[in-house]
Amino acid sequence: MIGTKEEEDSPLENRVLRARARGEMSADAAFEALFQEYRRIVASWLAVRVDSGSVDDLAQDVWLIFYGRFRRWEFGAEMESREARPVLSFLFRTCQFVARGHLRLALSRRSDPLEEVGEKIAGSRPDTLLRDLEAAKALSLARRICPEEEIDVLLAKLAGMSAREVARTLSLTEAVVDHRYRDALARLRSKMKVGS
Amino acid sequence: MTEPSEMPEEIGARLELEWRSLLEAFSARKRSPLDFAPGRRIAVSRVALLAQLEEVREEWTSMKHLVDAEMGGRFANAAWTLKDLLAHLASWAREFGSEIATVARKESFDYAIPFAMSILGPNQWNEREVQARRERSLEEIFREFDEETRRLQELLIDMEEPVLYQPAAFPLAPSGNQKERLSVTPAFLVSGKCLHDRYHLAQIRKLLARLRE
Repeated sequence: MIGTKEEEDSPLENRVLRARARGEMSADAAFEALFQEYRRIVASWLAVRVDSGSVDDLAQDVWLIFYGRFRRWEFGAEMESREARPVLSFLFRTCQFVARGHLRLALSRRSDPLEEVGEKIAGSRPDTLLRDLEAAKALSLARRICPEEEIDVLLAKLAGMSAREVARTLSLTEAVVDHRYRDALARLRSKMKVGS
Repeated sequence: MTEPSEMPEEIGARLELEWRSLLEAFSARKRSPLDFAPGRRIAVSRVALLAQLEEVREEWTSMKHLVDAEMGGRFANAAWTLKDLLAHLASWAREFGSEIATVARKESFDYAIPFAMSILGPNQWNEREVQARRERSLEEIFREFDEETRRLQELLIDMEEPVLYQPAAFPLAPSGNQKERLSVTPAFLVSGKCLHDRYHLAQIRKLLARLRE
């Protein structure tokens, strides 16, 4: 049994899932708590993957998919583990699928190369987010030069997912996860200069 | 003179700094995802449908490496082997794809799939389709599901928006009466396919875990 101190130390997600499983929280209240906890991460994951003009809509898609799934959520033994964050893992995978769907749809709708499509949409919406993204040079560079499988690992690790959790989520070994992470950093190092 | 490259640790620290800035940029955006912006459909979006199909395809592909001929012969329930259950999913992938393609062409159906002796599903149709796949290899069954689901994704991309969200009479007849067809939007049917796939894929996962114990 998890004691009070340990309960307090565990990630919010685990506490919410346990409260929900014990019937101490409604599905909607639990959803709202998880949304508040992870909304910035979901939006940031998408911001690195897609044009900024699409982030809000796609984030809504991710959360609506999660909302539908959460109502039938199976509370497995993994929520007792301090490390595992099944909701964050689910959101991560869903962001991947949603971004993939969005890019596939965008490609079919335009004859322009995808890079140009993203830049045109971004260029037409000078908002705060874009200015922040312009400052995110390493992330922007990663998006341009790293293969998708390295971006996946990079974004998961940036959001605080452990190598074991990333491996389980992506059906990889931890060694492959570490390898991809190191490859992504090496790729960035080869392109970036000090002070850039 | 060329400046020295950053060390990986410095790159990592810089990425983390940029990541935190990005998170901060989204701090003010607190609108609930359940509050729909004007003009947005309550129905699940085309991107969300594509994403859910992608999810079941990935799950399906991951199973391919876990199921061998011996496992395929183990019973998944009182009537079907694991291979039969996979064939059941493949048969519905083909049927749903064919139904959506028919609606996309703005044609109607000249057949029905009545639910018979069960409120859970069309048992006779299910059994016939599973039987039709008994002689096929596991590889053929895995390929059928994946190809049909990929084709469904392509159909979704090309489908006209009003058709995707307009109710149509599909062949399913849940009451058992062939004339009482299920009238739903193609978007709803695609969501239903994903739900059906996920339901059985979860069953298969549990079965495989049991077999590995």
